[in-house]
Amino acid sequence: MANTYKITITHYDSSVDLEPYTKTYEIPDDPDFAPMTALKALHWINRYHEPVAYDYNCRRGTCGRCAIMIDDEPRLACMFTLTGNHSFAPLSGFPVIRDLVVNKQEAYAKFVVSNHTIKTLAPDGVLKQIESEFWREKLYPLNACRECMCCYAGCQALNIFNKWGRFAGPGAMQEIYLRHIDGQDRSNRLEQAVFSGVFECVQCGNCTQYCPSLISCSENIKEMMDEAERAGMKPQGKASNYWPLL
Amino acid sequence: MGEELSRRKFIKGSVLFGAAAATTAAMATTVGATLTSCAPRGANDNSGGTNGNDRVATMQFASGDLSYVVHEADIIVVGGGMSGLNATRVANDNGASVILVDKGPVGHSGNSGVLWGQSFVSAENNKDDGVSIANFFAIDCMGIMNQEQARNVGRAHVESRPRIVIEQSGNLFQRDDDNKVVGNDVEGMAATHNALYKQSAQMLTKRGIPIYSNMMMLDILLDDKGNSAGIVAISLADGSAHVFRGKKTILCTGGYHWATGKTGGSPESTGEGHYALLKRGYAFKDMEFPQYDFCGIHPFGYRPDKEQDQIELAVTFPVNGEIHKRMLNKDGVSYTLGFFDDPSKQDLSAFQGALIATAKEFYQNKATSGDGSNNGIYFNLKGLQDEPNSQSYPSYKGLMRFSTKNLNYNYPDNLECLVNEYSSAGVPAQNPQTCEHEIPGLYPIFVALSAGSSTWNWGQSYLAAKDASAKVAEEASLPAFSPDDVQSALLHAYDYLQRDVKDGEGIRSTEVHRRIQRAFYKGQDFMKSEDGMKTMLAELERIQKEDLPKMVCKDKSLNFNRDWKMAMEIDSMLYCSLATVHAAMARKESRSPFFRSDYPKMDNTNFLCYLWVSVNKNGVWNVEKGDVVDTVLPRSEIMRLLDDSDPKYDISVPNKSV
Repeated sequence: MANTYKITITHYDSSVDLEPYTKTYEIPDDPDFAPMTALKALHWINRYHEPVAYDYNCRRGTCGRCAIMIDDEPRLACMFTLTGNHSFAPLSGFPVIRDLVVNKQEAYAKFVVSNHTIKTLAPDGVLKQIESEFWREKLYPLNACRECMCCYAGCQALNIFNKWGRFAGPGAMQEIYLRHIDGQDRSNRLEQAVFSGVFECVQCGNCTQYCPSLISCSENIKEMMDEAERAGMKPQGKASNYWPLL
Repeated sequence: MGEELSRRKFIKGSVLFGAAAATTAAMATTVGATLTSCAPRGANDNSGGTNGNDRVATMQFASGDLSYVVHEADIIVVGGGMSGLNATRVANDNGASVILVDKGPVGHSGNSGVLWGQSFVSAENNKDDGVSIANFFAIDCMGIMNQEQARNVGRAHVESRPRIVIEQSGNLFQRDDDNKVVGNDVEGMAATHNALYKQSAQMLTKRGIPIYSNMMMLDILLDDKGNSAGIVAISLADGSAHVFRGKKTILCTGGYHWATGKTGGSPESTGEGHYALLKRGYAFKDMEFPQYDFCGIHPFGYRPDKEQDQIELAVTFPVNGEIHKRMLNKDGVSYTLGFFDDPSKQDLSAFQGALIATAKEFYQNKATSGDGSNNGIYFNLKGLQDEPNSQSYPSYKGLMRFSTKNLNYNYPDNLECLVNEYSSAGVPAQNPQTCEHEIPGLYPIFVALSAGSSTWNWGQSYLAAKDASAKVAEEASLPAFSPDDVQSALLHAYDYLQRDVKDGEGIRSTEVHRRIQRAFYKGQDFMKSEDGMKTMLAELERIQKEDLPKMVCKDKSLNFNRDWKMAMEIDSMLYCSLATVHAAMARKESRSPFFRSDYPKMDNTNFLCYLWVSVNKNGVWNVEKGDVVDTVLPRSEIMRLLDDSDPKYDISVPNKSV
């Protein structure tokens, strides 16, 4: 008998359950399925044990929909190889729709208000030149964000210091940063970063650690903090609670 | 745990659902019997931006009392992929009120979630009013393209300038060593890379357009004159019922390739739009033509020939530019070189040529496994990441870099890839200028054939939204749908949840799903034959007759219920599969990307034509030949350029070794 993995899943269906509960399932370590990812494990459990609510689409890290907590760390299920026994839970910090499916609207709204999609005052007439190495090394990695919200689930400023109301969060900060550095943008993105709470970041580094697209989230935020401080834009004392998100 | 509990769960869920709907009803305008005479806001408020009028229809029927929320706008766009996002943007730009309905989370759903960051083939640099675009498509689709439509797609690109629009909305295409956007401009067509749909989705959200994610279309709705009136849908998040009522409906529901079983495409692509028209007796062409790509089995997928075939594939390697030279047969021999080194073969794109060369290897049993169910090729990955300016570099680099780091997986030098349908073809008859269907007010935007689906989708959705938004400004009132149609669609859907498993007789919807997929990929694999297709047809008919009545959902919840979603997808998967196999059996030739081992030659005399497949009210399928629309490149010229006596098109003639 091949090895098995024991997977503990947190279930919760608001229409039936008063409280979340956990259940443990055993799945085989079939070498034909190697590497056994968390997503493959979910397929297995849903098919051979009992129904589990989980979201997925692409199976290869591009759609960002299968993000869950694995052993209390935010991960894309398709991008996680099982190494032993694991626990799967819904992405922390988000309201649960059911089992492992959460409502990401609150974080997504922060991406939207980052105005990432508004670049210039007048429409571009032509496609501008961008230095290819700069595109490859800086811009492309930022564009690889999948809006999976792993960085939001891991963010200490948001979840431990409860700054959902005044920090745009690591993901939206990357969008502001991309517009800040891409050389094509016409607005003051540094000012936007300050108003979006860049100084609320506690530099825990979790966003960088958990980003499946390997974006240096925390470092990019630090870069904007330093730049803003040099420009005299660091608020004195405690940042205001009333700054609107821009 | 038992059936009793499951049953109770469902009842409790239903009660909650009813309560939620009632609460909404209390706050919204009560419509009832005055529904059709109520002055629609969308009719006199075309200012764009804030629109979408939500009401709850609280009608009572003897057959049941299912409540549903009615949302109104000038234009209903169904589907949030490239076509849907573009159509929504264009309609909004033109001042129409528009609602976007998406089966998944917008920006991450269907194939747009699978493909983002990949190539976009733009035709905006075309200089001859779309003629060279039509020529390109005509040849690259092996003569079967509707040239009038292709030409209009080219014109639409010139008019709408997709690359500019995409970059303007925050996207950054790949740049080459000259710091320009990557893309070889051939006859005004250029493949650019790293197009993302998340930006479009964010942009539309920012504009305040009502977007309904996780909303699955059950059916289209018509008024009593047969005009399009909107759609009826179910929220996959909470099971609530919705009607989206609009003067025009743009159907961007994507392909049905999930039915094909072996696919790197999206599990959400199950052909609801195709089904809505097929079941009403409308004919489709091109259903027999797959849209292929090459997808790695590992690290994300499964081998489909295994006992527990989960049939999940991933890691697409689009064969662009020089990439085809990396394709190897089971002996590790590169086989496409001989095909392309002959200058006379430059008529075909690298992709189409690579497919024919691959078919020749399959015919010679040079595919990796050769067992009929898991045929593949090897893709040489060595040094791929060191070619930063290769087309599709972003997708390779992203996939390989991220999966190596996250999964701790090292790719082999030669990765086994399966030829699989990343998307599907199949279009109904429609106006070549506006894309409007025979059903007035309905615009189906589906992909025709295998070349440049991004080009096609963008151009068609632009044409449709432009036409629709111009027309809605002239129309005073919203069309009236039939509440009975809504009730019957909803009852059909909710019935799946109420069916109970009896003495182990029930077949779980997920299993029926897999049975259709299994039948499909065994009968419609890369190399087809009469016998395989007959087996597929018989199995599909058996599933329809025996399995469907026994289909149950093991999961009874209204909240994010995968079993239920799959049950609601069964009809469309089945119809699309049947249409495919009937058309495929009628095409007795090999015309890339459609290959048959029993008819290895291309046959222009008999099959340089469309095959229109349809089903009548009695369930009898019919396939009819139709003339190719050859308004740009005449049929005689196609026959000269794609000479079927040329051994390069005969897959029984082996590839030349170089």
